[in-house]
Amino acid sequence: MARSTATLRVITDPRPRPVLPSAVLGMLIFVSTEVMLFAGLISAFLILRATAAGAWPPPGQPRLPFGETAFNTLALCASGFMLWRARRAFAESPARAQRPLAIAMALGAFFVLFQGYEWVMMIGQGLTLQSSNHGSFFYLIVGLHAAHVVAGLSVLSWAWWRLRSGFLASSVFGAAQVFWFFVVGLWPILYFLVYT
Amino acid sequence: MSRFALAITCLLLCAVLPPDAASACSVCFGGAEESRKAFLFTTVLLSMLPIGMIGALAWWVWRHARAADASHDG
Repeated sequence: MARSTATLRVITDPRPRPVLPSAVLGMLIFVSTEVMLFAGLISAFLILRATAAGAWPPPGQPRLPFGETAFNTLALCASGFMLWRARRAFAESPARAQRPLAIAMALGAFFVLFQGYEWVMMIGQGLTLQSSNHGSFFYLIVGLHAAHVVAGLSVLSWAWWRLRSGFLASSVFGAAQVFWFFVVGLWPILYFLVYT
Repeated sequence: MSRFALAITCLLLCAVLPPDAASACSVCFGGAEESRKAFLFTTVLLSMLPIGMIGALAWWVWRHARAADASHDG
């Protein structure tokens, strides 16, 4: 009786694993363009401030609330810290990342709401887009950053919803983190440049 | 000195000698010290930032690719 031998062939994917997931790389490229956008605005602001005759802010214009915004800055930095904790928890068990991610989103939402309140106060004191270059740049730079925070919150909310459903890929979560860390890391620079 | 070398020397001198005339540009605000510093700083910032970002990303990918190769071989 002839014995048949079957050879077990293990088929493996010959392609090497990518060093960087495509979603993260795409987000990094997008964030690079955003960095250049803000660098352009910061440059314009610095030149305007250097060439302004006399004191800054211009006479008749209110001073920006440095102390109150410091508290808000801490809230946004804490949000970044909570996202970092969510990232570590996700690596251990995705379900454990839900809570720190929700706290990060809540702190980000607080930042936007507090800034909205601050804007209402500043408009009440006479600082508007048309009142001076100071007002124009304040609302342009800080407003553009706030728009990024809102966009980042939308991305994090979507990630949180996917996480709850159990469908969040680590590469997609990584891309969302890159954007949020950019938003959080940019703010202290803007704060010290614009508010001082 | 050949004509070509003379032409290159003249071109280099033209590029090097008259930079002070650049402060007559309408956006330089009369070449005030404060604004000159601001222009210099922002020029350096906007020039170096893209190079720095691309360089950092390339270095990061290279480092991780090398680590992945090492773990694959070992």
